[in-house]
Amino acid sequence: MDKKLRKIVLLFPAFLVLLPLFLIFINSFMDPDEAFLTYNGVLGGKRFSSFVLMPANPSLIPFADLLLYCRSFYTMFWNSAAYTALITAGLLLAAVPTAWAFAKLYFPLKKIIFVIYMVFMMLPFQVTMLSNYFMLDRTGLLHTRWAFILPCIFSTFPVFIMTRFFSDLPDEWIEAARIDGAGSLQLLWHIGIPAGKPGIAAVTVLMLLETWNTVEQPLFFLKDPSLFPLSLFFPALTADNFGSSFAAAIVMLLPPVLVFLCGRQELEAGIGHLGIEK
Amino acid sequence: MKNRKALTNMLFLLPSLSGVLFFYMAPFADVIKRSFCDDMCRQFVGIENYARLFQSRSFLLAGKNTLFFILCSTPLLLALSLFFAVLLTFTNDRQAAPPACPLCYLLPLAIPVAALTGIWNVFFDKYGLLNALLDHLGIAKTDWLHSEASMLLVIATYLWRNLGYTIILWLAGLSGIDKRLYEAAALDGAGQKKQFFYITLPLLKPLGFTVSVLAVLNSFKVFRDIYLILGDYPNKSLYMIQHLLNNWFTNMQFGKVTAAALVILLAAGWLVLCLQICFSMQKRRDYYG
Repeated sequence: MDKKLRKIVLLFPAFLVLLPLFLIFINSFMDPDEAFLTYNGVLGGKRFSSFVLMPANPSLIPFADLLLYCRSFYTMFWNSAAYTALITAGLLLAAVPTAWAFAKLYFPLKKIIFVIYMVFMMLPFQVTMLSNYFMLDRTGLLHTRWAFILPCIFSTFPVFIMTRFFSDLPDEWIEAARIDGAGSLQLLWHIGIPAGKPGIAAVTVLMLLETWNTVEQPLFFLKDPSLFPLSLFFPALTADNFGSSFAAAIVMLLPPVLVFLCGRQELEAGIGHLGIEK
Repeated sequence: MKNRKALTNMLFLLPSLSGVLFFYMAPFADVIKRSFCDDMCRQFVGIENYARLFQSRSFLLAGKNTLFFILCSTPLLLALSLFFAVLLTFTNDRQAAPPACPLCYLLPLAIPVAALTGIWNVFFDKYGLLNALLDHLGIAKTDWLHSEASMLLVIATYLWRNLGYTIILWLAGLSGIDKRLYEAAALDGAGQKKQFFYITLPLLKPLGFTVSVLAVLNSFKVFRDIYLILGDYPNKSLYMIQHLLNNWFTNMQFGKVTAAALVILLAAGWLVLCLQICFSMQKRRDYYG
């Protein structure tokens, strides 16, 4: 294929990714009047929207509206931060030893348990929700913060990913350490965790992003809006809240994008690692 | 001795397995039990729920839509991402793949759904940007959000989100293929097409399992996007199994909901087995240890 054509084809996905982000950014500086003119049809009018590169009168009013007058936004933001930190920490604690056991230790029924983990991972939320719901209801946890946190901590997806990482560590290391008299726990602590660090880092980044974006668990297991995370903040677009809706989108995507930029190398290496079959 | 060792090894499972048992597996027994009872779980009704399930027109519609979506979108994702990955790998001059590319490829993973709802409306509304563009080109407008066409929109969203990291997965697989194989094949007179079908594809096959599992997994997640953007009752062609379960659940129709859950569990189990058989033709070191 022609070199130039290749370049264009390869840049196309990048363009598609960046265009919506660019527009979110632009729109967050738009005041209501201009929004109504530019996106007339979307906001209840009958004219086609037009594409603008820059608002004619960029204003910070949308951000001021959001950050100064919308208290629920604050609550939801900090809720999200707390949920994300707790869930990611919890699931790492649960998943690391388990993935290590699946990858490197012997115990009966291993294959079957692993396949069950995989099946539960594949199920859409609405199916596992039923089990979650019955248990949360029975234990009285329903509609509390824990109704969101606990089922997420025991998600089987991170275990699956981490098992892949651990199983790629050479068995010889483990045998050598065993001969030197290391116990299972020491093996995990001195070999598994240091050598599996890239994998653990990748899963951490992935789960931080994922948890920040959890929609269904809080939607079904929480009732009190003061417990909602930010992922449930999506007001219907009107001319009045147009700018601030996009300002909210900006604030909402800032933390994950920062995490993403800091952890980009780990994430890329981690996902890439999954792609290398031995 | 061996038994004692296995027992201590099981301790490593404990942190996660206890939670999975408690929140996922054990209550599933409850789900199974309820699927044979009436909605309030007072009376045993045999397979009545299952009979009602398979007669329910909404279940058949939602099942059909969900299958259609998975069968269209996942192969499309796999093929497109492989295409880009091959293009990136075999573009000889490195400049064709700007360093910023992997960054934007993975970026959609970081964008929360709720942050997208507004911009998706701006793009795909009846009077949105896409239709404005089409209008310029003299093409009549389509209601992307609320007509049959919304299926296209959802497939596009799925691709938008997942294309990048599927490309990264394939790239890693491709980088593991020995370049000398291609050189040897070229010497024997195999063209690019032949090289792709006889070297690249067979060697990527084991990776296909992981990629397909992730693709299917993420195809269920697209429901989040549909739900936040289009609400409880989208166009009929987008009424997915997840909508149906949500609605039955909210209406406390536990009999049917639990029966459907069991049917889906069996389908997922069957799918995992199929994928495993399909991609494990080649003997490789299995990673259960």
